[in-house]
Amino acid sequence: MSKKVILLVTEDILSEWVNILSASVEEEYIVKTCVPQEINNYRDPILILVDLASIEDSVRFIKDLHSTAPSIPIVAVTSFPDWREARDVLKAGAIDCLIQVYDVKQVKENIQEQLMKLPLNIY
Amino acid sequence: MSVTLLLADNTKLRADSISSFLKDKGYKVITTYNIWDTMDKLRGGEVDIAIIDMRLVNDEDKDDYSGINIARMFEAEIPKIIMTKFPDHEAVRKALGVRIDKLPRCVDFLYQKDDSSFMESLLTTIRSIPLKEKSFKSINANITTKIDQDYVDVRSQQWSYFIAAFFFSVVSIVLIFIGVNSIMSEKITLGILQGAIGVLSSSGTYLLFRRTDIASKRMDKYHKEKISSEQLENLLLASTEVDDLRLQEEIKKEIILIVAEYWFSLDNEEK
Repeated sequence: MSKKVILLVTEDILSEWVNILSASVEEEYIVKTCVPQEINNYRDPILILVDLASIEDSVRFIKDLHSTAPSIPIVAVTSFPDWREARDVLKAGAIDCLIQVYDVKQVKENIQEQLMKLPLNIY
Repeated sequence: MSVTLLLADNTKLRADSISSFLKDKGYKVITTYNIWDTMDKLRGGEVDIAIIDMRLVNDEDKDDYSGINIARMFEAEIPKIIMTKFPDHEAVRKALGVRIDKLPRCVDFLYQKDDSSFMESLLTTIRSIPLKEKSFKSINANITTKIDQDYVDVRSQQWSYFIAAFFFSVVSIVLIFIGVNSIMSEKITLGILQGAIGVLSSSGTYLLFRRTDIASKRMDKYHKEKISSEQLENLLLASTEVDDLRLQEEIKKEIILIVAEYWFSLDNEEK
């Protein structure tokens, strides 16, 4: 059976965190990365992670993404936690806003926690 | 319709100041200063929107998320706004994020600055919250009360028509019987007159029974209308179980469109 896809939207596809994310979930999922402009090329990922540093207007991006595919959970990720930004992206439709940590075990726990929220109440 | 706000803050002075501001803006405000009263009021069913301080027990305790915890314990039907003088990333996640327990999210998270900008932000947030559920319930209550009243009126009309029809039918049978009897007793003119009045009464009886039948059909129609409006209310209430407020609004619109289309199709069928 093919593995389900976790999509990471980021401009920085070579970052260390991408490798850490891939390593943390590789047993069960495949992590694919894409730049914000290519988001429409990916169909039905189980989870979309949005790197807030990669997007100029993250709130608009998440709002549009959420209205296009309301059943796909969106999780914002950031290296620079800011409560205002977190509030805005959560109100825009993200289900959580995670701080990027660089520990495989911790990342695995964080992603597992997000996947445990599925299915969302909208089903 | 006056909107009822619950304002929960353990600092009495601050709570009273916000409460007074909101009262000036035309809201009915219930103020609570501790967890227990806040929970009581949230259970009471009177509150339209709750504004809850994040640290409802101890302002000095950085692990005090009691306001958020209480807010998330109660159904999404009451929109909750969290306010705090100590905003941080984790608190925002706790208030607005989806959690594994799927408890309803709060609708906003506001920084309680000491200047007037907080009051303005609070007012803007309150005004942006749709209260369609409550207003629909109240409109629906008015409609069903009217339907109930119409139902009672039609039932009393139906009963009056039935009594009158019964009376006329007895009179007409008696008159026809007496008329036949008169003819047999060779009082032909009188007999014909009595018979004619009897037949005329029978026509009246028919007309009155027709009115009774029409009244019965109207009663059936009111009954169906009442059931339909209750079903619509139940569907809209069920849609509030959806956690996402925007999606909830879309689902409600869809329900209203489908139900309206169904009602119109029924009307056309009747015509």
